[in-house]
Amino acid sequence: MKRPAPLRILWDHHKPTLALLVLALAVALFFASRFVLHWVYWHDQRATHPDLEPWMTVGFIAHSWHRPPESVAVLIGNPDDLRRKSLEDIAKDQNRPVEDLIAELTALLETDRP
Amino acid sequence: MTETLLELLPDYGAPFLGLITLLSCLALPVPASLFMMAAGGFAAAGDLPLGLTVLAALTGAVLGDQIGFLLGRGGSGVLQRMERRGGKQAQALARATALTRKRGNIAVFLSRWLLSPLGPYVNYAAGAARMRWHRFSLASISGETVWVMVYVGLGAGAMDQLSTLWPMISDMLGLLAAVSVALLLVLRLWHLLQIHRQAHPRKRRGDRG
Repeated sequence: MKRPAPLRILWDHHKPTLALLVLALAVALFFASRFVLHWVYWHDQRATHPDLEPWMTVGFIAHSWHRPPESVAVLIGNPDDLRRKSLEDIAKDQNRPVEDLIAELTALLETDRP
Repeated sequence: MTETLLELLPDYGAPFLGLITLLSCLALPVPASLFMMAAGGFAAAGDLPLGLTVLAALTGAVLGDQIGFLLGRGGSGVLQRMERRGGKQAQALARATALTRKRGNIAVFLSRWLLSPLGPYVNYAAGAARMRWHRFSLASISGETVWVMVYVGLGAGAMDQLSTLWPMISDMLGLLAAVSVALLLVLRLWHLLQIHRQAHPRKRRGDRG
């Protein structure tokens, strides 16, 4: 006399919709776990310093590190004509990989705390 | 790819940002939310003018919505023919398009900012379901305004945490979109189950079919 379980009915008659639901739940789980990982990383990073990225400009870095733009420009080695130039462009001008410039600038900003 | 595009942002400025938000409204894989946060950061640093940045992002997004809506409307004839064909499927389709015409503006508004990964598809669907143009446009403009303000503001206010904050926001958006799709599917399955039980009351084990 027992009625068939709801999942059984849906599996027998509406497989595609049920499969889509499983897929949506899997995607949700994926994003939820990635969020937790990023959250942990963010908590570690917050105490230290903001990351530098190749697309950031001198003005952007200065503002996010709470420094005057001129002081960051001096650290990079060329105080003139740096506005709106990204680290990638500056590294190209200086003929070196941008990772080099980022590593050097990060170290300098760390030691040169106001 | 994203980094290369971001490097172009301070050079090409507001019009470039507008192009990015336009493309994102057509389901092209460009990270428009990240771009608006970066633009907010550049504006706070004095590398981009704030007012023009907001205006360009908003204009691009609203134009993109209109293009998506018109593309969807182009396909509305096919849906109408399917609705006229008769039968259960056609009735269900007719109910769905009628619901979209009546309540679609809420879906349009929320899918601009809270459920933004679903936005482009809602545009196409709203057009295909023949939603009224002024209803769509009003929901689109108000939703996009929230979207642009939130992200440009976030970028300007929290730029020192941008590179760590962005991955969390994109995860959260993906999670919200996946959960809302899952919820809709649960509602759909529940509805299908009710229909099945009405059609087969007190069904016994073993005589499934």
